[in-house]
Amino acid sequence: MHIMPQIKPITIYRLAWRNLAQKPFRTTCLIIMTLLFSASLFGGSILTKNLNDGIAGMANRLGADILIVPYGYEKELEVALLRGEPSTFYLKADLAQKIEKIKGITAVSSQLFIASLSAGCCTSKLQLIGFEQSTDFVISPWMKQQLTARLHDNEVVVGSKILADVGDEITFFNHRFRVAAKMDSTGMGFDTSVFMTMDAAYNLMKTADLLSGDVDHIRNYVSSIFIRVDHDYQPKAIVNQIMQKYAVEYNLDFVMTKVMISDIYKWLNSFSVIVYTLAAIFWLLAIVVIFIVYSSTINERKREVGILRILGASRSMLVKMLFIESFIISVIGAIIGIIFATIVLCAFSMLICQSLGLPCINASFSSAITYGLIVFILTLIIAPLASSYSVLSITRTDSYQAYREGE
Amino acid sequence: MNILEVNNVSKNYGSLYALADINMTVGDGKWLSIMGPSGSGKSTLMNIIGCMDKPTSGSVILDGQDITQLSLTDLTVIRRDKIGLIFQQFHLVPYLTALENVMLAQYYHSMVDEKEALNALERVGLHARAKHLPRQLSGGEQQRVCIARALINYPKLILADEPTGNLDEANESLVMNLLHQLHQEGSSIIVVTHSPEVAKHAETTVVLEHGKIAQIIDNLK
Repeated sequence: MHIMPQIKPITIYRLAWRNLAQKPFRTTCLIIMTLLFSASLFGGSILTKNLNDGIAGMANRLGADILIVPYGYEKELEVALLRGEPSTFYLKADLAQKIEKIKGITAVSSQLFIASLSAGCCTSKLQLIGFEQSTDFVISPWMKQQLTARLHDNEVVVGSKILADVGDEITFFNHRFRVAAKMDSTGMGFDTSVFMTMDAAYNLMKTADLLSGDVDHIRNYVSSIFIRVDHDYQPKAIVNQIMQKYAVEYNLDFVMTKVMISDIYKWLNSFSVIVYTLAAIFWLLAIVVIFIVYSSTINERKREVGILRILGASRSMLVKMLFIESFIISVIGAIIGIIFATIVLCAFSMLICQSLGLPCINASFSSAITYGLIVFILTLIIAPLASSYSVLSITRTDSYQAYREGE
Repeated sequence: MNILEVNNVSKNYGSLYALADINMTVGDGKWLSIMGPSGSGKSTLMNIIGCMDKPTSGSVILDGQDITQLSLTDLTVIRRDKIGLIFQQFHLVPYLTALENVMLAQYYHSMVDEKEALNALERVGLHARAKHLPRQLSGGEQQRVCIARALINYPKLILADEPTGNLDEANESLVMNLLHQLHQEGSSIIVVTHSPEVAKHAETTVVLEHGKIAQIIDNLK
């Protein structure tokens, strides 16, 4: 007596699946077409959102309207702010006292930038930033919840990506500092920076032999001056006043944050246009390719459908079966594409942002789910839409015609 | 009692007649052969009897019901419920195993019963090949799967179109023996063939020529 293993029952879904499995090359190609769309749209959308959130966060919390740097260091400051690439430059500190008297300026605060040597916490050089606690309005908004007491000279606040926790000790130039607080993620260069008091920064520079020449007068220098302008005044007018009075004497350059952010937004808009255009191209391409593949197999399918019709399948059953087939292609393409894009984003999102030189904040889980669902639905449409002509055409003919035409 | 009555059936394509005024009956449990050369109209007649086509005029009464008055959807139901079809080209679904091909006919008819489908394959001597795809079976084996599929829903009428047309002598004998078994068990059978040898197995042979009945032969005499 023969013993047969139980086989899976015949259903419309199983028939559709078996037909796809029967032609693995064709099925794989169709799935690739749909996953190109889902991966590009999901990946591109999330990356755009990450950049948008990073820039919006920076714009909202940066606080300063004008940044003053030594002449020629405008780009270095932008790079330090956006990417956290360490740099060091100096400007006479007394300028801060002079400009705070200008009408329309509501706050002035200085910072001193030090490019570190490699530290134990990190695989690359860090930006060490000394800031004036009494006047600061740039760093504090990012760490209000983390730092409750005044920062001491032997303490530092670390950016969100620094591998150190509150209470840890961290060493720079043989000076040990206790981590007093860790900042929120800013998506900017602040995430890979370490903040200390201005006194601690001056001492570090002096004792670590980071300077040559007039070391005793290091306290007379800062790297950048951050200015907040009253809402009733135009930052550009304030810049003009400072330029007229002090540009020659102090050899200054200016970064206007609104202009900088507006430029970044312009770039981001162009980037999102490219992403969505590419996704739209992939969407159309997938529809066209699937349409062509399905249309080219109409005769082959007519024979198969004719057999099923003769065996008693109704037209609606066959339409359902053929649509399920194309639906399966879309579902698999959507899922693989979204998973693939997620893996790439998890692995390389920050690297991409860094190479673009822009701040990034990772999209929240709920945002990712929302984007994923939208992409999933858009991908689901592809194969059923592209195959609808063929499906209706194959099943429209009566069983005898379908059977005979297929012969 | 007749399982089939064909009354004054004609089929024309424009001015071209494929069938002209055909009259014949098949008694319940009888075996009829329709024989004729290519273009004689035998396949057209089979397609009309098999509910795959409609005549231009005349009526076809199958199991007491005039099928010429039915819609295509209703014809599908009649074909599914009352007719077991066997084809020269086998027409098995290529991506389903022999067993699944038999079960597919069950699926469209009523309920899938794997054990019953296996019994049908056992009856045609293919139990051991149940898990094979059509391409893994010989022509004779494929035709036997086709017969098992035709039997599975206990049809009132078995309609075979050139059932041995693609088979060698040994397989032809095997298939004809199976049809004999079915006939002895009471099945009504119509075989369309161009071969006098195959036609001789039936009780009656209807010979078609140019769309008309040229001769009716009683093979029992």
